[in-house]
Amino acid sequence: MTATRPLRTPPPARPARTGLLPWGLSAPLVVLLAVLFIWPVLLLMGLSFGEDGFTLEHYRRLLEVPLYRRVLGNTFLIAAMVTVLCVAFSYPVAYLLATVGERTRKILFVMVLLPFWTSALVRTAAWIVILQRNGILNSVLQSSGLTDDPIAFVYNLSGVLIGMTHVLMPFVVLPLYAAFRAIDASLVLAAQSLGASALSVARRVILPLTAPGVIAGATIVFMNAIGYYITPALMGGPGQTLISMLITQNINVDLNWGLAAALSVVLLVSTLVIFAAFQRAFGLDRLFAGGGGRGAAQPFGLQGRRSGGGWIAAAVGLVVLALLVAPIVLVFPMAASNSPYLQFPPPSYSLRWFANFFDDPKWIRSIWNSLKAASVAVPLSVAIGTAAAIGTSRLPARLRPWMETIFVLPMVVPVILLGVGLYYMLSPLGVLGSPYTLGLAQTALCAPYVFITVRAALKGFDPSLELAAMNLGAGWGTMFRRIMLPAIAPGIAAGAIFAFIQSFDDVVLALFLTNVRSRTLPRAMYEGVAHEIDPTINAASALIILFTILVLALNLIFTRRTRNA
Amino acid sequence: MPDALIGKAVSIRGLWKSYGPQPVLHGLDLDVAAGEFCTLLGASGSGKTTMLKVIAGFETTDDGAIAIDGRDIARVPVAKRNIGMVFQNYALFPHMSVRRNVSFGLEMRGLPKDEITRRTGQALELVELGPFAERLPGALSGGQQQRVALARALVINPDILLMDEPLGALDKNLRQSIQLQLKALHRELGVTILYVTHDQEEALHLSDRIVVMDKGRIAQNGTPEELYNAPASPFVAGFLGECNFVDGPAGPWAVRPEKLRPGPAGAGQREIQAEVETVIFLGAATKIVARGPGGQITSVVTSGPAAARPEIGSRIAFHADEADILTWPAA
Repeated sequence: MTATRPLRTPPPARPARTGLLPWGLSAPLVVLLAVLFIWPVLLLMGLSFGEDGFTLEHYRRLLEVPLYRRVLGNTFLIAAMVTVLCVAFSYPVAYLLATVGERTRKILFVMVLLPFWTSALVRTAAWIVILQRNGILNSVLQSSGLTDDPIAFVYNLSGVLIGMTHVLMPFVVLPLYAAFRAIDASLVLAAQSLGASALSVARRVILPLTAPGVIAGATIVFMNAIGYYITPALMGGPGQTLISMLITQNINVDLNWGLAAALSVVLLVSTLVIFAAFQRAFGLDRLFAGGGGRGAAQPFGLQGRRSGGGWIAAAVGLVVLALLVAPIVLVFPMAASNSPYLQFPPPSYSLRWFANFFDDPKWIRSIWNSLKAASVAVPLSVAIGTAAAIGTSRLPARLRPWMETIFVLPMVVPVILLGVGLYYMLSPLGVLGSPYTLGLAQTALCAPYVFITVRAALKGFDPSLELAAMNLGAGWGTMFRRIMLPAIAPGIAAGAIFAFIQSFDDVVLALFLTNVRSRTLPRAMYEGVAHEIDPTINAASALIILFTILVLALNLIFTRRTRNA
Repeated sequence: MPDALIGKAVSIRGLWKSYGPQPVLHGLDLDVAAGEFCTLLGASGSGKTTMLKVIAGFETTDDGAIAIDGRDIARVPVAKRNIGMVFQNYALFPHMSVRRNVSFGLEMRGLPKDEITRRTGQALELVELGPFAERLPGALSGGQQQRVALARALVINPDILLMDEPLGALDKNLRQSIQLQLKALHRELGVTILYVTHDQEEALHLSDRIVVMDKGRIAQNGTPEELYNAPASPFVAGFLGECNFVDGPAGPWAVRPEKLRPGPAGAGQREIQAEVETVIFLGAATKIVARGPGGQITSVVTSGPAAARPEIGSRIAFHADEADILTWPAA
């Protein structure tokens, strides 16, 4: 090739002009999280090193007092046990989901997702109704003559394990199912043609290929489990005190803020270490994508006939699925029982407990408080989260992961830390006790959900549409209103629904930031369950489940309609 | 469209663009005359798409000037440039009907309603999509979507129409019929078109002028005939059409396959000896592949009787007219 033109040296490259828009759009969420999330957590960290003057006294006590050492050990041990149980139960379920027909799979999926989206508090309350001394399980066992005396299933280790495994299992089932679907069916055929038995296929092909999905799910479970509060607090006994419970006890009973802060820092650092490891190993997307496994060209499914082992696995999977939905289903007959006792099956049916619920000003006021909190949390988090998602998508690729990490941190850090930190920060200001303050605090929890759903919707938005609109003469505002907004509207709607569920189900923040007058429905329920379960709580549970189903159905109808349009 | 749509001239001087340390455009100069169909032809990474993006205003330039009809547009924002663009994936707004897609640019210009209706209708007639006006883009075939994209870009009476591999997603038969329509449309409307493709046949088929690009530089700029008959470099000769490169005793030379015929050379002709490897009957023509001194050569001749074909494995002479020999000064 001949150079016809005299060669010039290129002028120094200028950085691409991205403008201030991305920063302006991201700023509100940054400010919100700085004030309502990072600042209170930093206050706690400071407090753990002494209120006046630096001291390691609190940490020294954590290591020296045997009780505290035992709690720390217990927390990680129980979290590990829950993780193992989740993985063990998830394999048969994921296998079953992957090997049934399309229509059956849809039904089975509902059995996984319904508990996933039902408030953890409701599920915990239902388990207590089933497992307690005079609960459903014991009455069935005794009336069938299998046992003479009631067995203690709850307020001990088994209660904590059952409750937490039930709450956290979907975090393994979903990525594991995705991992199964990412396995190419021809791999199984190839292994069989080379002489592998069903067991060898499972051990040598399926297990290694699904391992990354399982490890991702297990990490999320473990991370959640070490900071969990509601379920262990309600279903465990004194021997199952976890870090989170020790924190509340030090604040509410012992009034030892320094020690509570030190415990919080231990919890925070443990969570962040696990989170960092997860992010290094799997990337941030895996945290929310339900495994993120790309479907194989011909995804793993049933090859010919099920083997003997396959039948056993499928049967176990079905039993586990039944256990997943059981507490949710059983709430309904219990709520419609005519009996003042938690008898099963109920001797006769009536709506008296629902009537009781609606007649009691305590419950009605708590519903209003919940809605007031949501009326702040949902619109605010939708506006701020959407803006941040659009802003982040326009940031230079180098900075994007950092912003995304900051924005999702509130989903990762145990809520109990946020509750304690905000309580400490806000109580001197005299703004506690208002449901609107609670709503503002919940925005920090809700906005990340909006951020993630809108971010996902933006990934499906063809950037050339934006260029085409501008090229045809549209300014940025017009382009956003007429082209981008219609495209990402389903994502925003889904984000709003997740934000609402987060706000409406929140117990932990409400426990710290509300009082008797401003308590929300979940807090009123929590107190009822902690004190003594009466049938009105079953009615409240049933109403919350129905409401959740309604909201999710609306979401489903909405997304389906926009997809068909 | 009756509104006299005559394209404007584009003039580009000293265009530099880099992503990171590596320049993508090396100080390019390019002139496109009003109403001309000019094609940027190059492999991926040659800088041709970047060139379009810079002209459309989607990318900033590091240095250089872009003028339309003598007016510098470097500082004009994208939305005010009045440049039509047909995207590789069409970029039709999926939630708007075909009609709303086409009228979008007119609405953005704040034209009166009846004019929008009239011009949108005309544009849809022009691409023969009137009956599909109320459908959503997702309900159309690839070829129909392509025509919607074209109508949408043309309806705003653009000063220049940029097309980024617009036929790449279509199958071969459809591509050829749309090429014919596009050529007719261009003649009819007199719009200036700057077209990007990596397909040399498409470039030959459509263009008044072809600009061959290589690694961010212009390798040659000329009519299709000039580029084929007098390629400026071995790169252009190899990129546009097939070419035999021969290492002769007097230095390297090249010849197009249809100019190389079996048989000994006469006066004013050049000869090479080569061993016949394959003979392929292509219908009207027959292709002879042989091993020559510089490597493989091909000769394409009008098909004669089967008996006249050379024997595989035989060593025969090929010749070409001196006038058809391509040589370049040593680089």
